[in-house]
Amino acid sequence: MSKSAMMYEKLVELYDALDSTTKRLEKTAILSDFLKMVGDIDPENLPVVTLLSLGRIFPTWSEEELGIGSKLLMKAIGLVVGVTEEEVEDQVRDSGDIGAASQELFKRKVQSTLFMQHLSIDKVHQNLVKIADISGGRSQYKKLEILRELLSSASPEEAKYITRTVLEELRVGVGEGTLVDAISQAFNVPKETVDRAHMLTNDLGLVAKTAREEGVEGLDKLTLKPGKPVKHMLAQLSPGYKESIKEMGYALCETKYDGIRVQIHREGDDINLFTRRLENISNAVPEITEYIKKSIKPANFIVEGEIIVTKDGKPISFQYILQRVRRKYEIDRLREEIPLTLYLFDVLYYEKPTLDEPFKDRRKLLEEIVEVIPGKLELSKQVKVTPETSDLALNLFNESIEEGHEGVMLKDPNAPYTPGLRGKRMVKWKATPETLDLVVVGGTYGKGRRANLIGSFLLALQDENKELKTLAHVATGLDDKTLLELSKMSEPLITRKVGRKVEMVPSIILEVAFSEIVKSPEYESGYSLRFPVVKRIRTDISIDDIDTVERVESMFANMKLI
Amino acid sequence: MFKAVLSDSNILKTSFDAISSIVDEVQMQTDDDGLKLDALDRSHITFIHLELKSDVFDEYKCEEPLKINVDTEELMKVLKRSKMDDMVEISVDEGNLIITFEGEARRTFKIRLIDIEYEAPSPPKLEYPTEFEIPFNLLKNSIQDIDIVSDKISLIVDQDKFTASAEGEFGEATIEYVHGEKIEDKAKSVFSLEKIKEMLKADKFSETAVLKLGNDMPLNLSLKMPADEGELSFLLAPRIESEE
Repeated sequence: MSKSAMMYEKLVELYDALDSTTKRLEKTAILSDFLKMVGDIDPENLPVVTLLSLGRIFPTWSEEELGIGSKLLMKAIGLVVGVTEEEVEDQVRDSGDIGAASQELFKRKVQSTLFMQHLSIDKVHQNLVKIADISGGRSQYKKLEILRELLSSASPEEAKYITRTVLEELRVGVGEGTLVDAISQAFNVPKETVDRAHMLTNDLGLVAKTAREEGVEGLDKLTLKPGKPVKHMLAQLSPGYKESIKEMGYALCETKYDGIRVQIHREGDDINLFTRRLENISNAVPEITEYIKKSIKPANFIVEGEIIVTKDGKPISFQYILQRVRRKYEIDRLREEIPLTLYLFDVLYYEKPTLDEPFKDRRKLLEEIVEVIPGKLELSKQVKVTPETSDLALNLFNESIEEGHEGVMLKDPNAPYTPGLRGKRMVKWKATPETLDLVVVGGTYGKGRRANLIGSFLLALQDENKELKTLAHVATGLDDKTLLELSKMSEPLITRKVGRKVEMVPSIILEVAFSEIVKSPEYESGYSLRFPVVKRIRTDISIDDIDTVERVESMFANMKLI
Repeated sequence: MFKAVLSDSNILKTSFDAISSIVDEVQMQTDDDGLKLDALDRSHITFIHLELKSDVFDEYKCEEPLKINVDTEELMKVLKRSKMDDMVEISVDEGNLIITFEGEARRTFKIRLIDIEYEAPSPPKLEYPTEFEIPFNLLKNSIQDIDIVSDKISLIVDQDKFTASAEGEFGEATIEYVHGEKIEDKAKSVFSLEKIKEMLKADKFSETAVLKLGNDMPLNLSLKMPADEGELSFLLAPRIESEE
């Protein structure tokens, strides 16, 4: 086992430095210097430190989690500091976040200790990993004990960041993008190379280590592996199908299904399904695993598709599929009630990585390895369209809408699969107007009949530094039942209450439709929405996936053109 | 091989009643001289030292030094099953601590040994200005008295008296005891009541408690068997209350 000389306080210095500036370039420089320094004095710990600099303990692909809620954390803080849980809760309310509250409480720590241990990065990391490993009987108690051990040696500043790391909200304004830039700067490798390695491995710790030790050559060798999910390739909105087809030369046009996009991994006998937020939903949809087993020749592979619910051959609302995916119990009964169909449309790996091959070849491979099971496992409907035969795309679009699907995708036949990128080589053309995925950051309680419900929600999107910027208030689109559900979901997230107004920990994501984007000095983003309407609560994507100021800017520009 | 027999199962039961409420895992060390345990709670607030010399046992054999790592709660569950007149036998095999109660029937329990990285902690060496004895029950009762008004307790000793007191939101409590010992200094420290309660769960170990107190210093509480063949002692870090 490696004994690191690096102390956790070094990391605290880094967090403070990152927090002291809002400029992305400065953040990148600070982070890059730090990574270089770690690489020089403690190279073995570079992967761990890289992840911790984002406030993460495990790489993105990993399903491990700490399983510590704020309640348990507050209990641990109380025990270590020597105050009651209520006092900790009060402080969290006053300070607005658990990190700042811990810092305050630790400054006034009354319970002394017999030994003071200086925390090393290794020690912090090991204890956090230990917490994730605990399961079974009395696991909450055992987690609490290990947390206490960690906190009892922490200084106020260390407590601030340890508690935030435990709750997975570091709040120093550094996202994966900044870290990718920092790795590229620190180890002198092109940003694109780092980006690619990151997208394929979903492990920035490994990427940093490889960049330092083997440079570009090593990074180029990193590739995806069945069992470790990669970010999905994303589509831009088509400015017009004729224009898109022309830009691609010719296009492969496919039905766009409205369900849940999944990446399916087979490694040996293990078959796992991951959503866009890399959540493993295999247990919730056992029939899909069965279909896959039957339909695709056994090998190590990664394929992608969309799972939808159909009744009498017609797709039905997206909400039903969430019922399936969220289920832990009574799966067999729901299987009958809500039957699923999987439409496959891409293959990223079959015995070897295939994602760099042109899409047309991947589709051909997909057709070769998949044996369709009608109504259960199918391939997406596809036609080839050229600028001259663009009517075929229109026909498929109309047909899709008629059948109850969302629209069509237009894909560049020569494009490789680019994980995590929203590019022009794959575009979508939807019937319904465009919507935005926004995160709730606050709200206002209603009056009269709705006095105990939050009636209006303040929504935000993210800028390029992953900082949240408010965009609009939304008050309509919700029936009473959903409103009640949203209010309940909101309550534990509330950090501040002034009159009827509340501030909330960003967590709930809403899909919002609107009539127009307008410039507005009232909101931090500089824009606002006219007639915003909530379409649904999105639990299938994470806060990293919400829409960006940049996207709203470009939508605003596009609207002006029309 | 290792084998130890005790005719009074209460010694182990009462010791681990306290130990299991303070630490979740522990390493017992046995050698020719007896059984020993040093443990520090995860928050570094309480240190425990248990020593049972071979004389404590009715039968004791330990051919080579052993380290026995157990989950204290699992051990306590078993010890709770002992009956008043049971003899208790401790031994180990590959991977288990074996506890056998011999009474009306012979009952054997195996407790899985656990894998822990354990660096036996050594207690800080402290010089205390005061040291005195008080009846264990008096101490235990004082704690229960204080419990009515507060969750922290001041322990004070001067030339004449030992005083336990607390002030709460709704009242105060004071217990005074004339110790009759030669003490020249005055000492006062404040402790978490919860933490003292944990230690005092070992209420059948000894009839008297030896206390060492200083100013804002850890409390040293020691329970000893009559002929020093066994000892259970604790060190508890104080609360440092800033004067406001």
